Amino acid sequence: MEEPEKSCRKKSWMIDPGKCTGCRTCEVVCSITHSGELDPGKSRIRIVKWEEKGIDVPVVCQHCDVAVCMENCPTGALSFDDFSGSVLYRKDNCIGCKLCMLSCPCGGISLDKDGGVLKCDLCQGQTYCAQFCSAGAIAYVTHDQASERCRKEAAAALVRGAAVLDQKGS
Amino acid sequence: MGRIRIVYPHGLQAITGHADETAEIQTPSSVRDLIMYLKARYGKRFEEEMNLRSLEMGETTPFYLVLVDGCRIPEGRDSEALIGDGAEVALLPLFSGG
Amino acid sequence: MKHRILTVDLSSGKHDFQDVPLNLTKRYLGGRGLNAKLLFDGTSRKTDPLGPDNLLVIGAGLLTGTAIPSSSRFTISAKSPLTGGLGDGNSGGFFGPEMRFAGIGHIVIQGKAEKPVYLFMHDDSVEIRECDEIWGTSVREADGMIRKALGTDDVQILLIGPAGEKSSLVASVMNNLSRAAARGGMGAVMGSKNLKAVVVKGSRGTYVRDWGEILSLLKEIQAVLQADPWFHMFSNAGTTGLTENYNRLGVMPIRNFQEAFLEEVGPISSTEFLGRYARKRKSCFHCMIQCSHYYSAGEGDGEEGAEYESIVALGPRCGNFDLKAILQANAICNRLGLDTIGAGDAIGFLMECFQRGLITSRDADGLDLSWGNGETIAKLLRKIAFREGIGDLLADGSARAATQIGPEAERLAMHVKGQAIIASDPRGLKAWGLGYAVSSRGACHLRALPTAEYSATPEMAKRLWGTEEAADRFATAGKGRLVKWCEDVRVLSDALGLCRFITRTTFVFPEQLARLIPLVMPLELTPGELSEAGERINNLERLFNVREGFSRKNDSLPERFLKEPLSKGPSKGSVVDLEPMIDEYYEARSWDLQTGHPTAEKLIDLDLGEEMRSLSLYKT
Repeated sequence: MEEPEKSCRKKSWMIDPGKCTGCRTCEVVCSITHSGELDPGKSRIRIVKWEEKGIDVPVVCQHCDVAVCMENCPTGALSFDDFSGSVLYRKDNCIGCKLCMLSCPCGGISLDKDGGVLKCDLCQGQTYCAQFCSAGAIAYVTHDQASERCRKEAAAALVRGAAVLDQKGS
Repeated sequence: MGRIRIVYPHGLQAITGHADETAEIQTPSSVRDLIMYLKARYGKRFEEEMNLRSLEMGETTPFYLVLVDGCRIPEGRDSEALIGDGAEVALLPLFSGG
Repeated sequence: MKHRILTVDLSSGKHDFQDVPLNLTKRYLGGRGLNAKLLFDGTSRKTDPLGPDNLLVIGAGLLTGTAIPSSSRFTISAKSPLTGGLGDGNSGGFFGPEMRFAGIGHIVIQGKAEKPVYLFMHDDSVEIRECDEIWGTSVREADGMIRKALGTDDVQILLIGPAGEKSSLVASVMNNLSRAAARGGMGAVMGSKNLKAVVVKGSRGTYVRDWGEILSLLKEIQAVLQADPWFHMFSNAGTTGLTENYNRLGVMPIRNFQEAFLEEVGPISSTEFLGRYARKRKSCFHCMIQCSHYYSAGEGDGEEGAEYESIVALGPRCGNFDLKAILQANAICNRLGLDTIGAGDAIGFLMECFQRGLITSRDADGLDLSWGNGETIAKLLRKIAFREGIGDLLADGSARAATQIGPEAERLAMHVKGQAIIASDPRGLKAWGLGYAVSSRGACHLRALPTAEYSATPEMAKRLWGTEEAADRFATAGKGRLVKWCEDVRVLSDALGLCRFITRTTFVFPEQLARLIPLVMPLELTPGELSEAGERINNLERLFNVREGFSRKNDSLPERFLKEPLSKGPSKGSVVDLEPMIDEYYEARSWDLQTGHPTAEKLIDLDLGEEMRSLSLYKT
């Protein structure tokens, strides 16, 4: 069992589709920092839209504790990295079987037009998408913070006077 | 003493508590004196709002424009006694668009 | 990076790609600028705006689809069937960037398809697909049907609704369901070509010199946005926040410009919109201001919006102060593909005709035309889109409708060159009035957007435009120079594809804009070259209109603004003294005072000699 201290410091995405405005700046910064060009097709995070309903959902690898993608990869192209605390992809070993994409329950893996797959690597801790999300829809926070935020927002929705809370979320 | 009407935009209504009001002040008054009077009355939040600056066409300008009877009084003329008895003073946030 | 002009001939079914020549980019940039040049070269005085020879030019801004934020904008240009001169509409959303991802800067569409079709571009592949079953459907329905037919949601679509199909001169071109390139009847031009939609999918990237520079730029802009209260207002309320402000200046049009000030503006204010109808915030591609909303004002799916112009056009202008009814009318315009300004103007005009006894309810298919009747407004919008009954008259805008009713009605049509005037009364904003009169596409506030008229300090006014009066919205002096200055600055936003909301502060001037270009293009332009390009574009647009026979006499305003002062509100008691402002404007532009034509000297100075010599007018 992990020491309580260590597990509290682990981080998680906090993605709120209700705040997402669909601007796709996350796709811009992800693709330019990873492929040197602005190309949504190279972004590891993608926005899924239902325009007629005004719905915008950021979809990205959730860095699962039990990485089904890695478990299904026959060649070891996906492996756990201690530093980032996530599963990283190395194209050299990839045979393009696509099992990772098919087995991912989060829609977080997509096919790279140049071969192989695209999967979030947390930008070595920089998480540029979170840094540049103007709507505050994407955050990368500690597990404690993530749980706290979920609780607070649910509680605020129940309690009258929730309007006094900052609109952009705390 | 004179009676003037002051109209607040949406952003200031939350601070003053009303959309407009009638005030009895020494007239004729300057814009500067009126703003000082309002700052004293409504406190720090009001003062912070009135001190806001915006960048417009490359120049820094006060965020709230002051209109006296429909005419804008620029900062350079804010110490002139332009607010007479019966005047309507409107505070208008700077905006551009259409 | 591929940067091409795609030419499509709907008559022959052929298409052609051509790299954008560097000299054209340097001289006209992109978007509205290069569109104007392509239009000038590709049409003539004989071109029938609704005929096969008219060009429909869709131009992404030079920076559209690049890593520069708030650069989603694209322009649709054509010879306008509404004004007879140069016409264009500008929109944001996601269509422009997708064009650039396909490596396309401009699409030039000529000819006419035999049957209803849509264009589908996927990188280098161009298909003209028949679509009988989609013709006749609403924008929303057509959008869904096209996505289904292509088997993907990952496309961007430009659409006309029934209004464009029926050649309504106030028909818009829609993208992303609720965004509109609305002005000048571009929808009618598209409809006249039997073109229902233009669909694009791109899978290429756009160039970035160094991604670290981009991230620094984004941080810089983030800081500006956080510090400036104007941006807070726009991020929160969008342009719905303008209603209260324009009313406070006493320039918000009510009942076809009979009045301009409402004692109680609350019911149509941003507070009401945000509190009751807005559900969440929305944004254009890669923008940090994010001024839009998704709202819901009735049954069924909601809309993206709403904009000040639309709220006033379908609201106070028609005597309607019920925000719910206004928002529903806005939705109707989006779904049928109508310009809210042009349609609202036509309805407001009709209502004043009714008020003055020039027409009766019987003339209008039995509709009750009293001010503010929301049900009537909704019905009239549908009639306009389908050219049914009285709608057939209104579908061509208030100016033409007036000619069918009589000379007394002509005084009531609030237009310039046939284009409806927008929601700011020039009797309280003189420079705006001048801007409407001289704009190349007819009444338009965006050509000049002379906000400095009420926001500049007297010192700045004196320094830049020669007199402190330029910063007095009621004064006449200095406005000509102010409008010229503003037009030359604003055109750069449109040619680069930048949103006007980002170019009000950090990226106003050529010096600031020149810095952006090499970050995202393998190209450098000096501030001087940019400045010149701006002035050149404005002069070429003028030359286009001169070729069509426009002159000083067309730079006018409705009599109401010249002769009837407002009786109420902060802008009461004033009329527009137009001629001196036009004199000063022409002088500032080096255009002939009598005719309003650019002088040969000016044109040659701007390297428009070749274009100039193509007009017989200049062959002496």
